[in-house]
Order: sequence, then structure tokens, then C-alpha cells
Amino acid sequence: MSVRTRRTSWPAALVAVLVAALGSLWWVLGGVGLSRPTTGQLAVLAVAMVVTDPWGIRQPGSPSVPMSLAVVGAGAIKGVDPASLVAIVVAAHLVVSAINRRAPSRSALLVRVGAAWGLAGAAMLGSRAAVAEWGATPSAAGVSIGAASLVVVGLFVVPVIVESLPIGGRSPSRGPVHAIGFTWMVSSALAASTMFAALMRPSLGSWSIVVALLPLLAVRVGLERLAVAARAYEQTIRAMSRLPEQFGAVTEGHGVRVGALARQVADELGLDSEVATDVVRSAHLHELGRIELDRDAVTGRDEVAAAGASVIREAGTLDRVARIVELHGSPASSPAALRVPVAIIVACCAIDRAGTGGEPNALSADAIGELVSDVGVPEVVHALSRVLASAPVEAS
Amino acid sequence: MPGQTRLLTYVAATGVAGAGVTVWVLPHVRLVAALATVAAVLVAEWFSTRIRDGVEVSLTNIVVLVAIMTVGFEVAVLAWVGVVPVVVARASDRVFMRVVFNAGQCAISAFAAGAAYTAFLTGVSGVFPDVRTLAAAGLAALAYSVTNLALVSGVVAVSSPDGFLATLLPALRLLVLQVPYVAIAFAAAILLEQQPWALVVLAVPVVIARHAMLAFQRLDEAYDRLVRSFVKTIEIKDRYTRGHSERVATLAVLVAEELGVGYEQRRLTRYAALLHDIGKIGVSRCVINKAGPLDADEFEQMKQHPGIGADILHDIDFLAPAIDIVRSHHERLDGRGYPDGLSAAQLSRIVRIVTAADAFDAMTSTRSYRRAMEVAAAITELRRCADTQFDPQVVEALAVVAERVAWAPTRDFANEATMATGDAPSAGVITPRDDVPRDALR
Repeated sequence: MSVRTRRTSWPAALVAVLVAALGSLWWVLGGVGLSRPTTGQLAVLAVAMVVTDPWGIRQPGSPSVPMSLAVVGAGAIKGVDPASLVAIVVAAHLVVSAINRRAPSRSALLVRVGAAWGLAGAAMLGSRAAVAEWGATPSAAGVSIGAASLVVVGLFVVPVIVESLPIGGRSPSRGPVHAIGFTWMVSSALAASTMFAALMRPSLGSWSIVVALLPLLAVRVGLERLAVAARAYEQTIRAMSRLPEQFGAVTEGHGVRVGALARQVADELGLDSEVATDVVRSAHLHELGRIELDRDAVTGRDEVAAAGASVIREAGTLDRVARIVELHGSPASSPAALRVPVAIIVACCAIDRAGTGGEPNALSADAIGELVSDVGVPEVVHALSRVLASAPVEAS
Repeated sequence: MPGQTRLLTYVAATGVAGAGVTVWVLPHVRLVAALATVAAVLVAEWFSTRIRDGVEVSLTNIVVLVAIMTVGFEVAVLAWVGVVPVVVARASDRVFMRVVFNAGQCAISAFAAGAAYTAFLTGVSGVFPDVRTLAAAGLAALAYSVTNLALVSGVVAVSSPDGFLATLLPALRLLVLQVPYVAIAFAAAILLEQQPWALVVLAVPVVIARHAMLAFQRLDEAYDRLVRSFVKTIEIKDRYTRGHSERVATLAVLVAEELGVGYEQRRLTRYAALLHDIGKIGVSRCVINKAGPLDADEFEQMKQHPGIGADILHDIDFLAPAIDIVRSHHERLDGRGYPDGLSAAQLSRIVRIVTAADAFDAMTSTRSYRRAMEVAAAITELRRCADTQFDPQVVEALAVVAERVAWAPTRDFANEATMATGDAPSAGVITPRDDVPRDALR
């Protein structure tokens, strides 16, 4: 079991400020690093942005970022200044919002404007660095390795910022370093498409953007299918938590509530995302064994746990979940690696069954002591107490 | 002509045609370019990705297009040399026949693509790499894919009951997948000529898309196992309906296929059919296993199960279209079904398929209250109830499927069944009786 310290979003905020500052350097340094695009080229960029703006691209478990970032990156390498790029991005988003008849999203605009501003600055800075280092003539080929390199770095940073900053009221689920694992595929595809467009520009002119976006579309289709399947998998497990409720074995919503509470406790303890996911799955399925047992018979917790584990094992890919569910019937026998997940299930289940009434600080010192003796892992009980104090559970 | 002879003739003709174009292009081939192309095809074939039943995605067409644009279509025709080792390594039977066919169809397809590319470019006076070559590459990809699919459809048509068009037309819908490939091939050709090192950049989206496809495939299989394991767990306590949902799912998908339903809808049909009775978890086991007609209260209990099932599944976004099917699988065309008494116009084709498959399996399975019916008798019963309860078109498709797969009644529990008198009631679907007929409830 790996436990990390509580995350913080300040590194991401710092990166966001740096990216924004990059755009401002365009004017400080003279803004002559790259050739200026023609009006026709700007129009092509605008059309490409309108077409790609509504399409998000995401890895499973993370928010989507707009495919238009690849167009923004291509525009930046092409030499569009930050203000013009931001104007195009905003216009494109407003047009798309009008077409879709919905109010433009402030958080979506924030992401787009920040990306355009920062990437344009990064391209300018990169091209200047290339000129200083190698005496290159970036405008001759239409692309400088330096400009493209910094834009690529920027395209890796933007999805991480989206993932780890509280943009649009969304609570970030992970810190910046951890977020890289959930964004690298999207970032790589966006960066490759941007490079791609830049490399083909001498041969294809503005068509290079169209050609570069098509492989990105293939990536988007593949990742979207994957994300939908991953979501369906988790939602199905949550739906299955309702099976024992159908014949009155547990109170309505017990599995879902225990799952939600377990997620908060896992986050509070800073568990690895894979372990946290299995904790939530186990919480949803911890009563599943009741569908296998005789409904009228009085059954002990260990019987329910063992029956549930045998059902879950049938699914083939949930072995750790099956083990956690099995052990929650006899937590004292948990191996070290599973002590924390098992304790979370036992503690959250006990709290939901007790029905804390949703009051803050619901766990008194006596209650904590009692739970610690039941659960056997004090840090889990204390984390649960903190969670309950900050966001009380709904009454069962 | 017997089937085997027709197959051999077709494969031989394909092989001879492939050999013919190979001999024709051979004098114009540059050895180094040919070796590089063959090596690239070998790698592309080896890492081909199976994305679902019968659909395999390989990057060979990209290699062929790049070869056509950069070193001439004569070299592209030789791509088959890279295909053969992979076919030999993976074929489990009839290796020689598979080699001949695959080599032949690869050579012919590459020739067709090359001819389309050259003819178009000559017509518009285009020169690689201007944008007209992009259009020519698109046309070449179309020619390659259509030729390839037509030849494969031909071999399916001569070796199975499936017709040529019945195989070709659904496959042609996948042509849209070629669009990104054309762009990738075009870009690869440009980079190969101008900045070969940058091919690494091009590989990134290709590798990620492949990774996503493989991950999706694994997750899809895991999801399938997850759903099946839960359904099995629920059914296991009710010995007479054990395996019912799996059988209904199998049958419903086959009927959907027979009716030309597309892949995504068939996938939905499968899950809806697997989960259609999940709401029975909320019905007393005494009612479900009762050996005899249900009284009014018991029937009311039983009528709750479609709604309970829909409630259990209600927040699974992916299954949203299937929830209506679960809720409506006891509705009837004449509006006398339950729980909502929907009219025919409100019942989708998938609902009609699952409803008929469910009734058919219920009739051809032994239940606690009667023995299994013969398949022919069950079909007759479905036909009798067509237009009022079941969709006639679906019933006829089901009849075709049942005959084709030689569907057999499920009598696993016949000897255990608590049919005290030995002359159990017949399994009429809607036969009017004093008590509620159980097959109307299923």
C-alpha cells in the first residue's frame, strides 16, 4: 500500500502563471521571432478552430481538453501573435456556443485563452532561442525546431493544468505530478499533431492543419470509446450495489453511500488511484453476497463477505476487490497490504448503518474509540472523522 | 458446383490474378525500395489489432499508400511478400489456401490502388506532394479497401451461406476508418521524402490510437464478463431459468444480425437481453419458482420486475438505450402488455427482438410448471401471436435463425421438475386460462 502526502495545486497554479507570462514576452522581446501569417491563413485557422472546438479528447478518468488545442499549437508555431490567437480562439468558441445554442462556458474560455496566450509566447521564445543558438532562420521553413519544442512542452502542460486546477468549480481529483499519468496520451497526440502540421506546412500550406487533425481524430475516437467503456464499468458496479436492496437486505442506497464515503476517505488518506478505485468498487459490492444467500436465513457478516467474494471473482478481473470484500468479514485477518482498504469498508459501512444524521463532527471520542477497536486501523478512523466533520454523510 | 470446389476455384483464381500483376510489375521494381516496403508490411501485419469479432485493423494499407506515393505502385504490389510469413505463422488450418488467397488479394488490391492513384494524378496533372496528391491518395485508399473487401466477401460467399452483398455492404460502412489512414499515409510519404527523422512524430498518434483500441478491447471483454457474472449469480438460485438470459442474448443477437441490425445496436441488444430479467431479484423466489399458475397478487408482484430492472440500471449512461428495452420486454404490439401498456409505435425494433427471443426461449425451456416445447411448436405459437404480441418480421427472422443454428429445447431440469401428474400443461404463450399463464409472464 503506497500512501502519499496530501496533494496541493500550487505547482499547477505556478505553471499557469508562467505560461500566461510567456505570452506577454511576445511584446517585450519585439514579437518578430516568426513570420506573420496572412489573413487567409488566419481565416483557415479560425475555421479549423470552429470545427475542432466542440470536440473534446480525454483519457479515462480525466476531464477532456478541446481538440482545438492542436490548432492553437499549429497557429502558435505559424507565428500568430498571442492577442490574435486569443481573439481567434474566443471568436471560435463563441461561434460554436451560438451554433449549439448554449451560453459560452467561462471555464472553457479560460482554458482556451490561457493556452493560446501561453503557447504563442512559447513559440516566439523558442524560435528566438533557436536563432540565438544556431543562427537559424525560422521563417525560411515556416517552422523552427525551437518554437515547436516549446509549444510541445506547453501542450503537455495545458492538460495537466486542466486536470489539476479547480477550473470551473470542479474539484481537482489529483495533483499535477500525478495528473501526468492521466494526460500523457492526450498531450502526446496533441503535440504530435501540432508538430505534424508544422512539418508539412512547406508542402501543403494551410491544408497541413486538416491533414494533421485527421490522425488526432483517430486518437480521439479510440480514447473516447475507452473512456465510455471505463465509465460504464464503474457505473455497472455501482448499479450492482443496488441488487441486495431490492429484497430489503440493506437500506436503500447503502452501497452507493458507502462507496461515496469510501472515496472521500481514500482521498483523505492519499491512496494511489488504482487502490482508491478498488476501495470504491469494494464499498459498492460489499453486500453483494446477500443475493447468493437464503433471504430468510440469519447470516453473519463473514458469510456475506465470503459469498460476495465468490460472486465478484466470477467477473475475472476484480481479484483485489474480491479479496477486500472477503476480508471485510474478518478484518483482523487482513494482510498488511490490504489493512487500510478493508478498514475503510468496515468503518464506512458501520457509519452508514449507524446513520450519523449528517451532523458535522458526528464522531465523538467514544465513537472513534469504538470504531478503532472494530476496524483496527486508527488512521482510517481519524480520516473518516475528518471527512465527516467537513462533509457530513446523508442520513440513511 | 460443390462448395469446396467453388472455394478452391475462387482462391486459385485470386492467386493467379495476384501472380499475374506481380509478374507484370516485377521489371519496374527497385530492389532496395521493395525490401523496405516488404519489411514495413511484415511489421504492420505482425502488429495488426483485432478490434472486435471479425474486424482486424492493420497498418498495411498505410504502407501500401506510402509506397505508391514515394517509390511507385509497382513496389506496392509486392507488399504481399510481407503478408505471407504472418499468415503462415498464424493460420491454424488450410495454410496453403490462406497464403494463396491473402497474397493474391493483397497484390490485386495494391494494383487497383496504384492504378487509381496514377490515373487520377495524370488526369489532374498533379505532382507529389501537392494537395492534389492528397485527393489521389484518398482515391487509392478507396480502391484498395473496396477491392480488398470485395475479394474477402467473395470468399465468404463461396464458402458459407452468407451472400456476397450481405457480407460486403456492412463491411463498406467501415470505410470511414480509412480517412485518418489516408492522412497518415500522405504525411508519412511527405516526411519520408523530406525529413525521415520526423516519422517518429507521426508514429505517436498511431501508437496511441492502437493502444486505446487494445485497451478498449480488454475493457470491453472485462465488462462483458462482469455483466455475465452478475446475471449468472442472480439466475443460479432459480434452477429453471438458469442460463435463460445468456440464451436470450445469443438468440437476440442472431436475430438482430438476420434483420441487418448494425454492430453497435447488436451490442446493445446483447446487453439488454442479458439484463432483461435482472429485476426478478426484487420478486419473491416463491413466486418465481412456483409450480403452477400465479394468483392475482403474485402476478402483480411479477409485473414489477421490468420496472425494477430499469431502476437498477438507470444511471449506467452506456446502457441508457437498453433500459427502455429492459422495461418494455413484456409489452405487446396490441398495447395489452405491461408495465406501461405501450402501443406498437412505441416499441423499438430491438425491444421486439428481445421480446420474441425471450418468449421463444421460455417456451423451449423446461420450467417449474411445464415441460419444454419443441422448437417447431414454439415457432408456430409465435406465429399465432404475431401482430398482436410479437412483430411478424422478427418472428420470421427468429424462425430462420432457429433452423440455421439447429436450436434445441433446454430440458436440463426435466427429470427434476416438480410436475407431479406427469402431464404438465402445454406451454402456450397466451392461451386463455382461469389463472395467469406463466409464459405470458416469462
